[in-house]
Amino acid sequence: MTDTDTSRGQQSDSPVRDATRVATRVIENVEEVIVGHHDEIEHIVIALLGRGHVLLEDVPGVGKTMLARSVAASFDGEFKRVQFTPDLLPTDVTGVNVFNQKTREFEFRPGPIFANVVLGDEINRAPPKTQSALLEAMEEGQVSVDGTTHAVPSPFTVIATQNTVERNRAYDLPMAELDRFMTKLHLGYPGADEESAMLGEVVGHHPIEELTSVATLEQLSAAQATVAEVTVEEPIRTYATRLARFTREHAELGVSPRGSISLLRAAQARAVLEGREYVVPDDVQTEAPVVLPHRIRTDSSDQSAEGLVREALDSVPVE
Amino acid sequence: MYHLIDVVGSPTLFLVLVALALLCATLLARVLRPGFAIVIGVALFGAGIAWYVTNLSTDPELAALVRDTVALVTGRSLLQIANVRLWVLSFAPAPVFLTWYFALRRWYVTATVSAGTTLAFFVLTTDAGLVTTLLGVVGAVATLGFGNLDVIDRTAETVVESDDSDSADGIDASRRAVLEQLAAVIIVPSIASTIPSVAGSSLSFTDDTDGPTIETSLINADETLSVQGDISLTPTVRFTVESDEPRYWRVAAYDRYTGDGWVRTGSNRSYGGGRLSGPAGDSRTLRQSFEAESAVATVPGAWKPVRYRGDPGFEVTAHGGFQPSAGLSAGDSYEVTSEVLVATPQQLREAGTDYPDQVRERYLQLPDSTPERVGERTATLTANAENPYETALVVEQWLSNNREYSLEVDQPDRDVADTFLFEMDRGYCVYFATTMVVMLRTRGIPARLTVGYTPGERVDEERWVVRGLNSHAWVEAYFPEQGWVRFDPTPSGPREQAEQSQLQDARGASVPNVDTGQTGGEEFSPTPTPTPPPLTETPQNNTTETGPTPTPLQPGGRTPSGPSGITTDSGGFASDIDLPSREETTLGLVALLGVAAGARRSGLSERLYRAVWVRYQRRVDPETDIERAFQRVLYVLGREERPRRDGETVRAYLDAVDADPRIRRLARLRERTRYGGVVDETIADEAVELADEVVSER
Repeated sequence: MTDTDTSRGQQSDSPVRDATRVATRVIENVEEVIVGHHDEIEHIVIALLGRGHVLLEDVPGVGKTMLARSVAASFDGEFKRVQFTPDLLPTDVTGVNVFNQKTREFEFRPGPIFANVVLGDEINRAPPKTQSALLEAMEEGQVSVDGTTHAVPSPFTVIATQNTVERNRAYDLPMAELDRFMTKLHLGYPGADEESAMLGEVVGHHPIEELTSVATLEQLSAAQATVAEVTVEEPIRTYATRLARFTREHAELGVSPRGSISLLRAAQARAVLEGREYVVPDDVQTEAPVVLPHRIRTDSSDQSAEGLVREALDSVPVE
Repeated sequence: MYHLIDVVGSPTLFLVLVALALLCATLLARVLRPGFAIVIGVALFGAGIAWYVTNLSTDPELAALVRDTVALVTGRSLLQIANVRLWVLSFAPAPVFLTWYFALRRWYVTATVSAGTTLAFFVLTTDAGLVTTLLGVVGAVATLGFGNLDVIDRTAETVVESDDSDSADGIDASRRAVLEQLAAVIIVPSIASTIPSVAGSSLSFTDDTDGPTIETSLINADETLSVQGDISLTPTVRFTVESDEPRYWRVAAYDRYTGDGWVRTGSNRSYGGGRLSGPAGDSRTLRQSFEAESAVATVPGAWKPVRYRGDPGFEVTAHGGFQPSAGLSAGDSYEVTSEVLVATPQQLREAGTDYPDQVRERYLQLPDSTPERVGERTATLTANAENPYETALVVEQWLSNNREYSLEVDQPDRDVADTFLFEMDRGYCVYFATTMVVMLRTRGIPARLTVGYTPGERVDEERWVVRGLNSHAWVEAYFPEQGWVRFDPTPSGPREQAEQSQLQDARGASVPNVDTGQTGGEEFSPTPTPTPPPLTETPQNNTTETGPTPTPLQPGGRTPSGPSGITTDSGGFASDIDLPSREETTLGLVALLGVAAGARRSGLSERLYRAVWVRYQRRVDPETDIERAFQRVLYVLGREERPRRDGETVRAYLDAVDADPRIRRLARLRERTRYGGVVDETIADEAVELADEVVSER
């Protein structure tokens, strides 16, 4: 990237402040394009910083893809998009070994998964085998093709979208795989004012065409490292544990230990976003509603997972 | 039950029976249906009745049995049944079996009913003391309370982990509630009974300090006599007696010692007016006539009465004493003919130990729980005595010389004789007499506790005025071929002083009914009646007849103060402190727990603690100090606005109540310490300062 602004490249004495700045710049940048989804943008950036993956679940046409693209375009990493379809094969995602006539050897031709930000569009359209290729990359940071493993680049974040309509033509992700997403977001329709403002902007040429990157890959990696260093003291760990236990006691399937880890990672990123070097309970409470619900299967249909998480937040004492 | 059987002898068989009943219940609880269990319980009960009736030495009529049962239920103590041991053994298994069976089957209500019925029966027979009854009731409530909790716990489909802060002390709220109820059961009646308006139905664990008068405790105690604590004397005139000589005017004897009192066994029979037999030894006849000066319920007479004549109807006790069928009112009079034993000390020394079976059975009884050391001490003291008579003299003399007379004593809560012998240095006649009887019985000498009046104030050549304060307790010991001989271990000097001073006080205060027309005059200066020696026939003998002296005690016994004035106590711990009994301890503990639970629930203890806690902070280490400072402020804020909710973060809370900047600052400091691990002294200083400031403003 040649585009530099004054604050970039300067090494300040506080890594947290640097990370905060990077995150804030990305958020502001995306908001140039996406109107009225400030919280969702924050959550996506937090997942990015916390080395997690995001699942956007919504009806078509509310800007899921646009949002993901905007985030990817905000830094100079590589961006790839995979449109999942019922006939998509695993190798279409991972890449394939091709026989090179000249060298008389097989050589690996990487698939779209080899990028810093991968947008998996309508992930629930593809058959499970293809889904699992993507999920392996998400969890292990590598893909296996013909028994050989290839590491995906770093940083690596998957933003997957899935449609909630036309369920009969979809392969819903099982709980175990949903668990691999740090956050699950619903965009929802924009408000009336926001919608008209957006319409005003996109008529003519789309602002995303003009979106420039505001952070480098190095800065993103540094920010991720900073997030990992954020202090999580014992009371916070206890709190997260108690929240998870609460959901386990009140639902058929509660939050797994992996879910608790994701929650704390998200909270760490939230702390950095707010310029703090340590996690406070408020961070946990802010992140829990998007980190926990998709990991819970409730006993009855009249209680939603979101409702249960709210209940946990209300009743588990903060100490 | 255990107490009953203990009084009359070895409890081993009883324990075995109860253990068997428990074992059966335990085994059968698994396999037997409740209906069958009830049948078995009833069968056991029936078998008990049959066993009891067939084993009675006498062959009573059915009507008599029914009458006795009714008497039991209307307040007659079981201890008065001559064959109480047999009775207990017959009737113990059924309720034990039923109660335990139902408790094991978790039919707590039924179990409680079964146990409660048994308890109620004992309450009716007055055998269950206050503490026992209360303990039983508390036990029942506890069984029901915890039992229900138990049942609920078992039926609850989900066992909720008690993660709530409530269970911090290990007992959840419902259990605490049961505790509170138990405490209420104990404390409310105790407190209520101290309110003057209901003091009539006073329920108290100790006798009030004024104490009953010695007379009411001795004379009016009908068939049982419990050894009391402090006691006072009443100067009211009871009788005027005309007699050739002063004697102890005997009212009644008690034969069964229970450890804390006395019971008269056997029933009275009606008196036809005929002449009864006198003592076996040589005797002379003494006639007395009594006139009641106030309403009384006894007909005293010199031992051994052989004929009564007079206004009231009479009954004869199983011990050869007389009692009026109904009370006497002032002015009633009667005449007594007595045969007074005239035995020389020599005769008594040679009386031997060939006691009749009836005497042996009845007057050697001691509770199984009587400490060994009583017998050991007696044996040491009387090592030189060569026959029962000398033994009795030694014991009498030793008690009289080594224990002070006092009307103010703490009521012992264990064996009276043992306590008086080893842990008390003073007491009144009941203590002396009780102890002496027990000591004699340990030596195999039949003896009994006798109550009545000392001769009283001499107002004429042959007239005595007997007041309430002349009431007294002494000892009678049995000598074969002679009969019952009186011993009085109470030191007479101090006793008379107490009586006289009481009388003077009463006269000074013009208390009514202190004097008759004849008393207090100059004609006969009121001379205190010395305690007559046991044998008035040979007074000169008695002054010289000292008998063997008590063997000096080995070091380690309680010795009189030496020149240094220090009393050396026997080894072990000096138990001058009265330890409460097991039952009282249990009750006290339950009450304490309940009060604690109640105080906790009502927040009383919390508030007290908080009031101090919020104002004063002791510095420990930075981390603790900051947390404490923060909690203090949060507490104040909670009282002022609203407490922070469980799931509410501090930030959210402070925003919600719109806290002032200093509190926010403090919260931030605490946040950094708690969640950021930043700790240092200066932060702590600032935090405590902020907290002091915020708290002092409110």
